[in-house]
Amino acid sequence: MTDDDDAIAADQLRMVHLLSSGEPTAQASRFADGFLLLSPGELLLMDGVDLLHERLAREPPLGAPDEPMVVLLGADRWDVAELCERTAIAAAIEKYALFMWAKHHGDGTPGAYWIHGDTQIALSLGPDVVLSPLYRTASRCAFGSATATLPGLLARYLDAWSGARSRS
Amino acid sequence: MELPDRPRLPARTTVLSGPDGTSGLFERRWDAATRTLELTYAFREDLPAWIDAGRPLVPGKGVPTHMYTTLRMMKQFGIGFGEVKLCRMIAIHEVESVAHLAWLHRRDPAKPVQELVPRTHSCQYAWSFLTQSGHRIVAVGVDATRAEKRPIGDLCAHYEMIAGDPAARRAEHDAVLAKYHLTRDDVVLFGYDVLMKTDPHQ
Repeated sequence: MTDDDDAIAADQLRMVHLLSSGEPTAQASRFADGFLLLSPGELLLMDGVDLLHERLAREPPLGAPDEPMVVLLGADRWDVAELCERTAIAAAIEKYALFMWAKHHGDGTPGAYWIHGDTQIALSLGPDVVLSPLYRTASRCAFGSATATLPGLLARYLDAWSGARSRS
Repeated sequence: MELPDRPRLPARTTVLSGPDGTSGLFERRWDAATRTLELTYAFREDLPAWIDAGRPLVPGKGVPTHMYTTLRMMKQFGIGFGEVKLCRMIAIHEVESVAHLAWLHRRDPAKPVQELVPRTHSCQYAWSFLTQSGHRIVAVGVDATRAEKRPIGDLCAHYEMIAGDPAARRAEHDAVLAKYHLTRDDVVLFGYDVLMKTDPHQ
């Protein structure tokens, strides 16, 4: 792009922040690379539960309408459902799910990689989306798709989540 | 939001890569102040079950991959021989161990769960690397604070959907369920922590 090019409108911009307490994990970086083209708006990807706790301790308001959406990467299996219930993060991806995505990413295999998010929004995404029987309440669930890629499914979900947030 | 009741320990998360694109995920946490080792993730996936690394534990086979990886990670933490005081296995979701515990409980319902858990695979696996690293287990406890009781089919389905080969994983699970005379509708306990107090080998 040169200085002579026309300016683009601000609403055409997407802003994605990847936060990490140190070097982002290789899996998180690969995921972010694959996800950047698909993300629907301003977004904060946090690599690891520890960092989320630090962020919450420092800046309690999270998920306010004018704040970026927050997606937690590399979440821990045993507390991710509870975190989703107790914080305003849009979605969380388990450490194991991220590993499995990275492991199979190279051969292009789609998979039912679990994203933790809002049950009603997950149910609205389409017939390919399945809910896990674990970690499931009326408000939160783990979901996946046997045909969509993980970044693609997350982008669909966040698009729907952001639409629901702007309506509320 | 409240911080977790238990402090998070410094973690090492390792992706172990093997031949032909195989890989597995392992994570251990270590608190040097309390000499507590936490076992948080161990997914061997398609890695070979044995590693040929120096003196074999089983002649002709080598060292179990789980054990080799854990011992290496303990060394990276700087954990000395016999130094661990408490080993905590976090949130047991392993279908083999969960099914075995359900079978043991059905056979002997009066026995407390902490007396049954040591016979399951996860404990046997911890016992083996703790022994190799200079420890003996002196007491076993179970923390079921975050455990769940649900049909074992729910647990199986969750991991089958995420597997690289869901049909193969389902077949593995079916074999485990048959071994312990369980159906997918049977309600079992899972997600419990196992605590092993250890002393150095004499």
